[in-house]
Amino acid sequence: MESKTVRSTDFDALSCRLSALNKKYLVNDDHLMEYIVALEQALKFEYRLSSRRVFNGIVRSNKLPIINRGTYIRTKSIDIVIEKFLGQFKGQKVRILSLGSGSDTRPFKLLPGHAGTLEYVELDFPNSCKLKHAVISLSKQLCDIVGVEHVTDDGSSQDWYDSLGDLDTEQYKLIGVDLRQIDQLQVLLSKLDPKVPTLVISEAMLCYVETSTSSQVLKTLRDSFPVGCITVYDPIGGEGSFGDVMVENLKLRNLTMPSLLEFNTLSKYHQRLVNLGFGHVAIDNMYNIYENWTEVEEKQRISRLEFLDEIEELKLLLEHYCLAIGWWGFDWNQFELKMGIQS
Amino acid sequence: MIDVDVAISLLKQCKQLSERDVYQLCLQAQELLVAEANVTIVDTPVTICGDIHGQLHDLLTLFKHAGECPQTRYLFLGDFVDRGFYSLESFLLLLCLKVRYPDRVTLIRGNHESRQITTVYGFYDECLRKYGSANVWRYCCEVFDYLALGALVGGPDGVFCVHGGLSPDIDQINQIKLIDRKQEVPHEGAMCDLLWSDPDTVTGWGISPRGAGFLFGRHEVEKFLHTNNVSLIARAHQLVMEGYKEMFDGGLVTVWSAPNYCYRCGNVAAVLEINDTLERKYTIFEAVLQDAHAVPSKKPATDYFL
Repeated sequence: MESKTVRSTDFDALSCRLSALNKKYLVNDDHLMEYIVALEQALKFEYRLSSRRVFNGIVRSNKLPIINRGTYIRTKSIDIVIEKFLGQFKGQKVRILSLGSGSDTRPFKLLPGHAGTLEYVELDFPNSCKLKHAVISLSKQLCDIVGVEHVTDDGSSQDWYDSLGDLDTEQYKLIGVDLRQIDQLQVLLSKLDPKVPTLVISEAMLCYVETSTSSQVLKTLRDSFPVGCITVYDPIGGEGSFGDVMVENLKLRNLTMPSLLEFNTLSKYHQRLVNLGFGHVAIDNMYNIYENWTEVEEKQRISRLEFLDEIEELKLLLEHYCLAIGWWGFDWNQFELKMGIQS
Repeated sequence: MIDVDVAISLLKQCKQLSERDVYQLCLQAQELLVAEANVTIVDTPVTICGDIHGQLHDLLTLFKHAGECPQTRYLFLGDFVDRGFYSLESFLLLLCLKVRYPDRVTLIRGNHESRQITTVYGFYDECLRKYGSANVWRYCCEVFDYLALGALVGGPDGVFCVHGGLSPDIDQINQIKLIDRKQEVPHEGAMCDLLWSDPDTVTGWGISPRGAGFLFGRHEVEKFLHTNNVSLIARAHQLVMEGYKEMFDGGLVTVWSAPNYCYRCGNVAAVLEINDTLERKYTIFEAVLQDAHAVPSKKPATDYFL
């Protein structure tokens, strides 16, 4: 599958996050608006004449309540895992390694509160990193957080954009790589200090990769760090026809999800991670995670945001996405997160 | 004047009517609907259909499986619009059939036949996109206000039909007749409940997670059946993967008629035929293949989390 097609899914995810922010499902994400403002400028260099259309596609797309809820729990659940991980290694040097991070604004939220302890590494296609590099450079606020020099509108140009490469600062690394090139991934990981406990985030990334390759990616990550944790958010095809329909629908966008129907249930996805050597693995679907991880007051707040007619559809949809957590080389002090399958 | 037969043939080809024709059709439909009681009486045999949600091609498949109108008498339980790509064509086709064969078609109101809900779930946007103004949407909403709230099939021991379910304010069907239905669906009260409530395993009444209507349990259903001398409550409103689902020892059934709902859910659909001796016969059907003409080039909203 072409990287361009996969990259377009990042704009879908960004658009969903923006909708969820506008509807107040997501709160305390000032950096997202900042990112959007700078993105409008940066897109001109990559998409030139069609940049307006691309930008409007992201910001002018109203999402249905079910999509907003799904985006909320997807974002929130990973935030919770991050918080647990940072809590586990409080005061120590830790690393977050985000695969296919795209337009994720988590580093900007997390870095200021963890100066000197947190290293945030983002890996994505070189063109995605170039765009993100430009976005960061064009925003004073984001530059200050990451520690790079701010570039004003006047200072930016097509030549400037074309020359942008990876970003590498004390706390933050943005590295362009096609994750399917395992040897390149290995080289890149070998440059990171293995002694630092590492939380790997794979949010709707592995699903786009051929199964054998995604398994190699997982294995490589597992073997690169003696102490680590991985959290994976992926769709699962299920046992009914939902997965088949999904495959057909995604074809219309030239998207394929090779592992969707192979690891189609929670137990198969769980077994997959166990087989790859992740010592402990816990997994559940997003419906249960919403039900079990969300406080009563928060649920009440969410339910008041929008009228949600499609209760059955929401359940069906969220049951076809999972969050898996695998960890090795340490024991959680407290792992009170409720998950359906745990080993 | 609008030629209804021509309109039916156009709509079956998924073609647009002129704004003027839509206006006339809506006026004619209103004249018919205003004469109907809140709970309209329907003869047997009749085929009861659940949610359609703008899936025009699947509605045409439904007619192929369960019989064309007027040969088959139909009762549609609401939710004609929203979510699917062709809400307008689906609703107008049903309206044309109603105007052309008034005694062979009954349409009752679903919770999506409302101004507020259609602005969120797609029908408003669809009208705006197709006509460049909200006029057509406005005409349709006027019709929504005249739709009956329920139907009674087959006389004594027959079937009470409603989109959502029961209301704690309604013990007897006669009480429904007192509602002034010609209005936007209210946020609470009997009219709202009939369109929004769901059956559940609760004891008595429960709070609905939808934010409108109630959950009602076995006891409420049995009491309602007994009080009103009916043998079945037929309702729609909830996606059922198998197309229909009977509950409470067959005292209630959910009928769902939108196969592969939202072109995503992978469910089958069903219709329920009630014959002269009040026997039930379910017909299951699947979605038409999602080929090029079933999906408009400008596809709305993200379907998945990518």
